[in-house]
Order: sequence, then structure tokens, then C-alpha cells
Amino acid sequence: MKFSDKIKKPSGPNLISFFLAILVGLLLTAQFFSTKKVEEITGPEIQENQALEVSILAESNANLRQEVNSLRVQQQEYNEALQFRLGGTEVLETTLMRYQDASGINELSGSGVTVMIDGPVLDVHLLDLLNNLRNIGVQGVALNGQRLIYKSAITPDGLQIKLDGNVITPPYRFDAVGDPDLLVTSLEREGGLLEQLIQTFPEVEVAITKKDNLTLPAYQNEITFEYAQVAAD
Amino acid sequence: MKTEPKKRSKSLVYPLIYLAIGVVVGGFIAVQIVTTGSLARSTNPIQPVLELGETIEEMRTDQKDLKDEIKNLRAEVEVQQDLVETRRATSKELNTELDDFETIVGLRPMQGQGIVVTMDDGEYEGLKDRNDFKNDAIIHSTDILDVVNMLWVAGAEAIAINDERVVGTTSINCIVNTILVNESHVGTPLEIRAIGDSEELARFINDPGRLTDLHSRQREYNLVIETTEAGDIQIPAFTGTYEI
Repeated sequence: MKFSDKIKKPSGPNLISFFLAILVGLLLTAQFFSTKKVEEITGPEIQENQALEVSILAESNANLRQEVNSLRVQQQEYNEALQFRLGGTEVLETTLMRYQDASGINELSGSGVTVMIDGPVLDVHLLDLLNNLRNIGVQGVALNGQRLIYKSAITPDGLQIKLDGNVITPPYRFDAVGDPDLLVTSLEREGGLLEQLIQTFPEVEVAITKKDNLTLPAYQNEITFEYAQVAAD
Repeated sequence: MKTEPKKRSKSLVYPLIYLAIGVVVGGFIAVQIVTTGSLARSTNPIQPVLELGETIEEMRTDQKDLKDEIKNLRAEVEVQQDLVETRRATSKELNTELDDFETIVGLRPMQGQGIVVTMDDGEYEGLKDRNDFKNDAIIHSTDILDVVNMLWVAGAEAIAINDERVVGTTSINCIVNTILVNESHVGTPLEIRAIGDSEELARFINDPGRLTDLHSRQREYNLVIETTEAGDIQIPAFTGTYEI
């Protein structure tokens, strides 16, 4: 024993330590990777995001089902009109009104919110907020008294901001017709767009007010198609 | 006298080390078994995530089916509207007006000259994590928003992002690595199609003085943003709902 210790020939206990060390190393690595893998798949962020997508899809599908139902009702009304050779115009009128309201060509009244933003914000902040409002769900939006439609554009113009070609100046006021409670809750959400804006620009003042009755002006410009034609399905 | 305690401590050290190692190894094996064993059972931590993933897939399929159904129903209603029109002279004008507004709100597929803007993540090693919102090598929902906004400025008359028509209620959002347009998933590479003066549309997108953030990321991270002018751009009808 003394002799082998001196020349450091692998002894029984040393060999055992050696293999034990390998085993511990292997187990440590296996443990580390398996824990990491499980965390990767089940991380709270990923689950949260999946849950969020499920809720968005659930809402979207519910709205789509509603649209299917309303189209079926329309279909039946037309069928009856055609069968009894009368009516029909009422259904046409109702549908027309609905699309005119959606287009922004008419004034629109209803409950909603007003969002005031005072301070040196950029065009992109207004664009993001508009996108945010559309995401929450609004029937119509106006910015500084101008009605916004599908092709409204917010662009920088030197140090100024232009909306559909017209210069707009602070304070910026969004009037949005939609569910006031839902709008306020969503807009004031922690970590939401407005909170981020205030954190980035402490000098910017934001005020959200519920409104029982808002009236949005009609879109002022003409909507024409010069290059686009209706395609056959 | 001196060697006695030394020997005694040496003889105690080894068993103690082995005991400690034994406990640690035993612990690891136990944890490993528990972790692995639980994977195959109902307490499997991965299972709910996979189930959520399946749910999302099912819901996306439902969404697509519903949109197809809406598309078909709208086509059928259109035929009926025309029938009502032929029966009643008074409704002819009304029907023409209805057609016009259906075009404005995006319920008609459109065609005409225009451009396709292709956008994709840059091939930049080491920055592939979409969770990182500061990640400049990937396409964010705000980039799409900026391009769409710029196309409207350039005089676009109709725009679609992949198969999703951009209408008055359209929002463009992002949940980690999923981009949602009209609450529907759109994958990369993204194709933004726009009808309008094709030269003008391309000029606005490629102008280094506009969309400056995108252009600098294109140079630095190979972010893909390409424009193709075409004589015949096809844009699908909106298949969502206007009910809010």
C-alpha cells in the first residue's frame, strides 16, 4: 500500500473515486438538460402566450360565427322576398347602411372613449395607438377631428405629423366609438402601449376618458379606385 | 502517538467522502427517475402545453372553415341581391350603391397593377430569438404596420398581407413568434401585395429616406425587404366580420 501510494499507481479507492466522479458528472448533465428542456417547453412565458392566442382565436371565431348567422338570416330574408315577389329592398337598405357605417363615409355616434396625448410623440406612436384601438375593437376612430378609414396614413413631415396629408399638432385626440369599459381596461393595461409611452417619454401626458355619446365626423375625401378593379372570384 | 490520530482521521475521511458522494448520486438518480417517470403520466408538465398547442391548431382550422363559409354565404347572398334587383326596378340603384360600398369595405377581391413586398427575417447568426423584442434581425408586427402605412401614403388602393385583406378594422399584432393579421396567423416570408401605381409604390418602399429603420436593418442584419412590380396583382376579399 505504501509503495503504490508513492508511485501513484491507481489504487482501489482512487479508481472508485474516478468512476464515481464520471457518474456524478453524467447525472448532473442529464439532470441539467432534462430540467432545461422541460422548462423550455413549459416556461411560463410560452404557456401565457399560447393561452393568449387561444383567447384571441376564441373571440375571433365567436365573431365569425356571428357573421355566419347574420348572413344566414339575410339569405332567408332574401329567399322570402323572392318567394313572395315583394320586399327585398329593406334587406338591401339595412346591408347598405351597415357597410356605409363600416366604411367611415357617414358620421358615427355612440359610446366610446377619448384618448388625449399631449407631448412630443412621434408619428409611429400614433400609428401604434391606432393599431391598438383597432385590435381592441372599435366601430370608428377619429384623430384630431379627422375620421380614419382603412387607408388612412400617419406620416412624419419634418418635425410635424401628417394625417392623410393634413398637418396635425399636439395635443393629439383620438375619439373611438366602441365598448368604453373594454377600451379603458385594455388601454390602461399594465405594460400596455400607453404605459410604455409614458415610461419612454415622462413629459408626455395621457388622459383616457369614457364617453356616453361621441360623434365622429364623416371621412372627408372621396374614395376612388383608379388602378384596382373588382376581380371575378 | 503522532501517527495514531492521523491514521484514524484518514480511515474516517474516505468513508465520509463516499457517504457524501453516495447521497448526492442517490439524490440525482431519485430526481432523474421522478422527472422522467412523471413525463409519462398525467402529471407530465409538457402535456398541458402540447394540449394548448393542439387547441390552437384546432381553433385555427375552425377559423379558416368559418372564413370559407362566410365567403360562400356572401357569394350566395350576392346572387340573391341581383335577383331582387332584376325583380324590382327600384332596387337597381340601391344594389349598385351596395356593390360600391362592398368594394370600399373590402368585400370584393381586387386586381390591377401594383407591387409585392416580400419581408422575412434576416440571416443573422446568434439573433434568432423572437422573444427578444429588441431583436433587429427579425420582422416585427410594427414593421408590417410601417410598410402598410407607407403603401397607403404612396397611393395604394387595396392591400393584403399574405391572404388577409387590410380593411378598416384590421390590426397587425404579434404574440412572441406569431404574427396575427385580422386575428389570423400569418407566416413568414410575408407577402404584402398592394394595387396602385406600381412604380410609385416601389419608389416609396425603396426610398432610403423613408422606412429608415427597416433599411438600416436590411443593411446590418440582412433583413429581407424586396419589392416586385407586377401588372396583375390579385388581392382577396376580406373574410372577417364587421360586427363589433
